[in-house]
Amino acid sequence: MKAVLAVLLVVLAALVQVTVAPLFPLRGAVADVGLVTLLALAAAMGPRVALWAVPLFALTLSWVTDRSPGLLLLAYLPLLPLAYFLEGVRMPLGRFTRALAAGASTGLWARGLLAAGAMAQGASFALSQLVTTVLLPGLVFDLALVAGLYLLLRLAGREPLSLSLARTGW
Amino acid sequence: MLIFSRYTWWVAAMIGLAVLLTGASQAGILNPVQGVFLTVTSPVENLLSGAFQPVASFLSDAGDVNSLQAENRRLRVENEALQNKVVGLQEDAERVKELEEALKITQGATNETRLAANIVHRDASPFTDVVSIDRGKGAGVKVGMVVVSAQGTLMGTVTKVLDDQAFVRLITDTKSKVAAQVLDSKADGIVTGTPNRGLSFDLAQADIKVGDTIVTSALTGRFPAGLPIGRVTEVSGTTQDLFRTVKLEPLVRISTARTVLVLTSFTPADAGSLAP
Repeated sequence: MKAVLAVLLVVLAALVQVTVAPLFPLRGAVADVGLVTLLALAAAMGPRVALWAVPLFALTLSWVTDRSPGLLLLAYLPLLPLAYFLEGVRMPLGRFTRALAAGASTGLWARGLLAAGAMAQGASFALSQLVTTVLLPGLVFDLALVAGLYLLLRLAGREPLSLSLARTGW
Repeated sequence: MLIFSRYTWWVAAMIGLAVLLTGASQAGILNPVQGVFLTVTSPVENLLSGAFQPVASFLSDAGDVNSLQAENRRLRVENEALQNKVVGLQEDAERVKELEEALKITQGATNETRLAANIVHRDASPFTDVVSIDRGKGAGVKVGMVVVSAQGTLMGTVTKVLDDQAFVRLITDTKSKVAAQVLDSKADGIVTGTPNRGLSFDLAQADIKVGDTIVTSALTGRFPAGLPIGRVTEVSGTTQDLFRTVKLEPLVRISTARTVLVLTSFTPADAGSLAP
């Protein structure tokens, strides 16, 4: 049941990414619905679900956007290892701040990688344009969405699950 | 430590999977599954688009009240001028018809065919502006075909075709390059997409001013001549500059368009080079 729900959420996230998110752009960036969905799955259902949700989302998104599934997979790849790494770092930071850092860093990586992919296919733009029209507005989106996600989890009375694979018995 | 964790193995496996998926995608192995997926999910997409499109349009209009009022005033003046022009053109057309009849000239009928399609998805990832439409091979769509808005303004070109769907690279995509010319002066240039989904016009040493209309040129053989693209909104630099920066405003609201027309009768000169 949990797996079916996760699959449905991943597919829905890909569809929302290409139907709803482009309607509300901020300069050259749109909200990364996939990123926040994957983070939500990891936080609510545990890392084992998120491990296969990442490639599934990349594949689904590639079908609706006609982008390379490999590039999309690499774009979202750092999310889980980074979140796990930040979970173990000894710093006076709460889970919320660590999730914000993981989401924002992966968002920057994903947008930068997809921009590099577009550049490799012939797009011409300056680095300053990448920063001002894509990365910074994208960062605002990511921080807002991850904050919203954690607010929803709190309102639902749930604590985000640990991303350690060992603790979940894998 | 991350380096000793199971995530290391997972990352390695995912990199391998990324290579495999890229190969499979380029070989077209996944195309049948992609076609089925797009067909199955299209009702959900229509539902989502239909629900959020009015909200987006409202927010867009609410944020642009001042510019919309100014545009409205400009359009009223333009409308009046155009109506006067139409009257003159109707008189000219009648006169031409009379002359043709007198001289026994018959005009050949145009054989341009247009196929209506709905926009289903929109890929708006960085520097990319690609949409998918609900017509494909079955409806006669081919790679390289030109896509225009319902009013005939250039929107993009077809880059990939599946059985019942096709992908269209819009002119606002940063990879898009369209041979174009200024309608009045006939100065040639290239229209390219900008990172924030706008348009710029690159032309060498020519007179151009705000308000000029830019249309397609048949120079490269990829587009039929004379399709409207946009209007000049900003010109920087002087006529002595080798290249001037010219910003265009598309004549159609590309971001919220839902219906497009595919020019199925026009065959581009080098359609193969458009394939991704």
